[in-house]
Amino acid sequence: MSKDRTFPVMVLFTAYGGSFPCNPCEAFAPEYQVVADSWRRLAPAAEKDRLFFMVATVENTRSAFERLGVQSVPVPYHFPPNSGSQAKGNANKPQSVDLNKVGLQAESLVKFMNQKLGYTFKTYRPINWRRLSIIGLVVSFVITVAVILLPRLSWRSFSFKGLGSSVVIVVTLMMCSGFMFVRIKGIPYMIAGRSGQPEFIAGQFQHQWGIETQIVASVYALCGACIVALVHRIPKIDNQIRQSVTAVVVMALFMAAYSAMMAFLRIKNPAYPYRLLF
Amino acid sequence: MAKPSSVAVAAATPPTPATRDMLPLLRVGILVLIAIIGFSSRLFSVVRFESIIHEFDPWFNYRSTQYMVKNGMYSFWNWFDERSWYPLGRVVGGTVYPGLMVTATVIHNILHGLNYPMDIRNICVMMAPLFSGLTALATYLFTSEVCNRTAGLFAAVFIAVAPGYISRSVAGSYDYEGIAIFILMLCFYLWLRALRTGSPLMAVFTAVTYFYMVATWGGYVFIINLIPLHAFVLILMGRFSNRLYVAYCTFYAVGTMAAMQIPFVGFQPTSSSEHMAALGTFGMLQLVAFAHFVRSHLPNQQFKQLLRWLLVGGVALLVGIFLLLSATRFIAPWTGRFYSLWDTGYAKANIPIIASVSEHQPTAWASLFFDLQLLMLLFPAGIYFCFTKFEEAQIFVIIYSLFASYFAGVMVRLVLTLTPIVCVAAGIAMANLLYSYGSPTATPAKPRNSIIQLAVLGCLFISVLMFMFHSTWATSEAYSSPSVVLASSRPDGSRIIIDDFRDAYYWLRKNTAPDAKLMSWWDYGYQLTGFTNRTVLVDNNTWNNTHIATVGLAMGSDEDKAYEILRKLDVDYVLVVFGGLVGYSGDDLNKFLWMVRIAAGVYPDELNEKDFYTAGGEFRLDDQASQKMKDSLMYKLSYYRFNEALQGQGMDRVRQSKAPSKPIRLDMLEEVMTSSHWIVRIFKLKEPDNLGRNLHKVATFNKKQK
Amino acid sequence: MRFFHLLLAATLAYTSIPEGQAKSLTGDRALLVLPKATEAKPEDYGRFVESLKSRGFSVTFQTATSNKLNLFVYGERQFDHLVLLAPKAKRLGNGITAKSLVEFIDDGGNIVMAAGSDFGGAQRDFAKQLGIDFDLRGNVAVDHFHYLPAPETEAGVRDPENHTRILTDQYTNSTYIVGDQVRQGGPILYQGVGHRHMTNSQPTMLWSVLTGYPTTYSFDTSEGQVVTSKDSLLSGSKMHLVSAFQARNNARVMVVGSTSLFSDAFFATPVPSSTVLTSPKPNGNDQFVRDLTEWTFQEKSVVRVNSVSYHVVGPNESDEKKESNPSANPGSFRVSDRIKYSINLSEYYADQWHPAQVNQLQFEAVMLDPYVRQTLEAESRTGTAAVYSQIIDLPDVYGVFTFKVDFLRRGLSHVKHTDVVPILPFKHNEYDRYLVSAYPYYISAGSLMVSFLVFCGIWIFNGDSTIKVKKS
Repeated sequence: MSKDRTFPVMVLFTAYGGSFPCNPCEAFAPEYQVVADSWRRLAPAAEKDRLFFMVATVENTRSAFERLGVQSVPVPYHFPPNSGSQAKGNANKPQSVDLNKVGLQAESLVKFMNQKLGYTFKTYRPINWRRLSIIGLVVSFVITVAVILLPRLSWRSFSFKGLGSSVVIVVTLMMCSGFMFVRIKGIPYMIAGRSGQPEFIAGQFQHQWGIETQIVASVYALCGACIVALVHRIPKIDNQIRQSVTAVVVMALFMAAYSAMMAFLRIKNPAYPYRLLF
Repeated sequence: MAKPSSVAVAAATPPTPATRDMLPLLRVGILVLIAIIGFSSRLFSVVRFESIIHEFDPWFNYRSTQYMVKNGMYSFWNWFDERSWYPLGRVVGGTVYPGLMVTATVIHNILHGLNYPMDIRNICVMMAPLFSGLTALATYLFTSEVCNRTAGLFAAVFIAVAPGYISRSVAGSYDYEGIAIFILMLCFYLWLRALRTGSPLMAVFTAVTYFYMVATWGGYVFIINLIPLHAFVLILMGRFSNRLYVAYCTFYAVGTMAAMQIPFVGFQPTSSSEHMAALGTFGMLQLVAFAHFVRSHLPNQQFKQLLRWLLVGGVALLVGIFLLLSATRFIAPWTGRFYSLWDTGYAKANIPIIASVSEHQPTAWASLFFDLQLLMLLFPAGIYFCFTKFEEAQIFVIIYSLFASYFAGVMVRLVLTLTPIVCVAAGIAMANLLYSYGSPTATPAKPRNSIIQLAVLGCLFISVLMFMFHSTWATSEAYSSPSVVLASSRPDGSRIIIDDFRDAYYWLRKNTAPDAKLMSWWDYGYQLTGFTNRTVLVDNNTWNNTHIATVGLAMGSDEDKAYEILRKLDVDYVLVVFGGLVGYSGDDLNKFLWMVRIAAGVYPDELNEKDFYTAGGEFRLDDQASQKMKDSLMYKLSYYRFNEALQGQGMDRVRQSKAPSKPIRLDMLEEVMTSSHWIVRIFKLKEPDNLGRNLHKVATFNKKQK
Repeated sequence: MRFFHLLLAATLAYTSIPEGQAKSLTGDRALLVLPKATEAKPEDYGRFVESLKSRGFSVTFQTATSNKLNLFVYGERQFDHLVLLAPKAKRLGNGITAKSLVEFIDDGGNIVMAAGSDFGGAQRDFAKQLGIDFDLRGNVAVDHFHYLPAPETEAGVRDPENHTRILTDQYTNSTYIVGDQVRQGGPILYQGVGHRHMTNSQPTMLWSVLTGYPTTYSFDTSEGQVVTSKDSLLSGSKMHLVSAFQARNNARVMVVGSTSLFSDAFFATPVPSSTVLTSPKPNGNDQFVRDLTEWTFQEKSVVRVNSVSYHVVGPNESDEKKESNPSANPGSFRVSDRIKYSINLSEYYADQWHPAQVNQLQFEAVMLDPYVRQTLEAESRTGTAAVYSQIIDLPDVYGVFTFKVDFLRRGLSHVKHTDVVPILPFKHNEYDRYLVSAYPYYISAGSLMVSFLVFCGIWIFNGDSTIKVKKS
């Protein structure tokens, strides 16, 4: 950043690939592109050529990172002009915006820039033709299938018991297994534990990883299947020995699943006093 | 009530005459026992501590019940509470669901009418356990309606001890939810019954119960969406019947008109989006009924054409009207809390005050499993059995399960609404298992080997026993702490009672002027007014965000700025909760960032969350804390004289960091009370100097002159 | 509010004192602190003391350094009024510090404090707390145009023509302290120091009573020093000779830069008349000192609130409250009520209560911000009190309001009266009924009921015929 710069500059400090894996950086990169694009299209004509967008990555501009004390990426900085008519004297310290707080959208950066630059320009998002066409394809496929299939199906013959029950049970179990927790809080699927081993069950009561949803939901589903089998299938087995063996195995599975759930709970809350099989 | 058939069960074995005579008696006996279990398992806190109101919200309910008992219904309706939200005040009558208070008052008056004097506090404390017994009964009725009485008994015993429900209904937890779940189950039972019999009388009973729910809990929205949804699904599945028409139309018309009698609800049933589904279903039912009428007069082919176009046109018209009204803001936009149920990122970005409440966080599986345990394992099977029968009542259970589980996943608080249906489903699963393996006589649907039966029954018995142990343990350990009184244990396992809150409240009651104004973070507002009978600035009824933000601003500003704000608000005392000495993690410093966030939302020029972190972006409270943090009123009040009291070895046991080593100078407030474990600290605002000097100068002068 | 109560309690306690007793409203125990006997004797201030005694004060004399000099004994204030005429004293009594003097004020005591050119110690510190900064030690007020020539006859104490015995009549505008008699009489003979008001002093609490002429300045005359531009010269109207201070609790302090102002010698010294040819006339000191002490010792310019009343006027006036207790003010109002607010004020001067004469007395209804601010008009007056009132439309906002009259004038005691009055929303049965705009709804409800009956009637009476038709 030279001493006598008569124009403002936006610099995005970020890290791509290489030695610093950074998911938000990857996510923000296209958004930054959108901001620059919006500026080119929608900025006031007189100002259009007076703002420069730059990207600085950790690998290439380490010294700049150190000088500004950048601690986390991605972080956009606004450098006001430090000479010429628009220089603001003391106020020309570079200023950053905390993307973690305002969100990783182009809109939030534009809002910040509007404050700092004193002009207003809006975010211009090009129509995402690819996404749109995919949605269109899916919708038209569904409509076609419906149009073809629906007349041949009457409501009564439609198998609610099969399709409906599985959909309802799967959704219910997902909801009861912390699916929304993971989704809302944006929690990673799983992480490496202390010894580098994958950690399946998080050690905190009020916390969980993405994979736990699947584990727990499958255990619930297994239990449900066991009971349904005990009620509907096993009495119908003709062979008495096979019947007995199956019943015992299924019941044992149920008890094992129950014990496993309690064991998981003990991992999360070591003070939990109860155990069944293990 | 007798149902002709039960789920997945072709025909029940005819009982012998002797047992048939015994059965009702047995059932009643079992139900009574269940109610007693439900009641007594909620008494841990009363036995262990004393008969005391718990938590925060119940304190307001308790206080308003006292008011109602003393002044009567009408003055409660018109009650303008000057003791809260000073100086704005709060129109209590119009901003409260009065059902709970009315119920307690009615019980109180009946008991007094019978010349049995009972203190209103004890009635309030025992309210939730009492209604839990009734909930067990209502769940029994509901489940009997869906499946059979065996399932009903199982569901009743499950709901009586399920920790998910106990968490909200222990003795002393005098809150809406305590009685709302009973009303919920009763309302659904009556609805299913009205639907089965097509009786307008039953539908009116449903509506009356719905009215009771509206008067009691904001969760009534759940009923007014679930029943229409049920009706809607039934229509879609071609199960329209005159019974449905009669039941729903009677329920909707009577229920809506009754609901509008509650001042807090007012005209919402006709304008807010939450109620539109019910209205839409009502309209649709008229159309469908009309269509049925037309069909009886038209040839089949013509009718189908007509129906198709009518349906399409009607739906398009309704959607169009709804969108138009929403867009023109004629229909109220979704309220914040409701909105955060659907768009899960909404609250986080826009309403910090909602996001700051831990009850509004999404649920991790562990807390759900902790609350439901064995029931959760039986739940999927129960739903499956509902599918195998798949009549009106079973469809209702399925819809209920689906939606309640979604809501329970989104908000911890709503696990409560999921619990009853999980109990019902688990009851159905248990009944089916018991039918297959429990009966001594052989039927085609049973395995022939009785050893297998015994093994399966034994395992089930162990599981249920385990569930009982778990429930009792969870109730005792997790849900029976009054939160006003804290209990912790010494290394040797003996119990220490930390009664700081009540000490401090009592001090305030006895040592401050009757018109003193207290400022604290809103969490303690209800308790403060309830315990001390003094005026508070903000409380748990978070209706005015600006006022709360002003309090947050005062807490986050430096002493001079804060003094100015506090003087403007006529504050006399400031109360902060500090857990650093005993490691009480729910203290104000841990909530401090939320205060700053909420304040910054309203006063972005005055506060900035960033300034409260260190240069490295950390939240620290020791000597390395940021300057703004060190200057803030909350920080100063919390740590004032802390390090000195511990001879310079001060250690904040919540943050696990060292206490600030430099003595904190406080010129404009003076410490008047610190409770024995330092949890509550009360500071008095100094009067402006008699000679007009700046209070910093006064302090310097006084120090020098000494 | 509290201060007001204190004052009211004090005034009530002393209004019924019989004639001949103290005319001060806050007590009659006055303490005169004098320097060592070698410097001054009580007789030097004979006329001043006589004036105090004639006004009913019981005057106690103490030497500044005396160990018997205590302001408080066991926390009880021993005197109501304190006159400090010992500026040179480094030590005051039994460990009296500036802080003790501040506490004396905080406890409602009044102080007249005279300063001198070597003024120091606790008194100087105390003056600083009031926002008064005395000029450097050794500096005295000098005026080469308005002065009293040194008396030739007196030997030894001859003024070496430094022109330090200055004459002035530059009173400030407020007549609450200095009355017309002084203003029209002879000038004040003054020998002493000047002071400035510190920039952070409260203009509502501290103000000047007497300054010098524009030609008066402050200078060290002892060694014939020369004025240099480096000195921050205190002069003219910036140089205050006498300042009055009124604390929040209405305790009063008078700070005078001269002890000789109070002395018999100065009282008796005639001053040259403005028309030089006529004979010298008496100076104004006697009456001026009397005015100063009367004000300081709460003998005049004290305003009290006798009563405040407010009630609803107009059509909404309710009768029930009047029946139960007509004099009590209602505990609450309803939004948009029209009320009448009256305040009954008395002012104390010339030994008795008179109707207070004030202008621009304002009423405010405050909830965070003032919603109403209106001037109260004089309504009626009796022999001892005046009523100021106004019809006020309360705001259409509910909340806990503070009705406030806060009247602050230099010289008058602080009149502050606050009442916390909630303004309530409509009760459920207080809304208007049978509005014109509601008639469509009444009609629709009524017509629905009627048509339901009609429909049922038709249904019942036509029912049989349809069945018959079908049957046939």
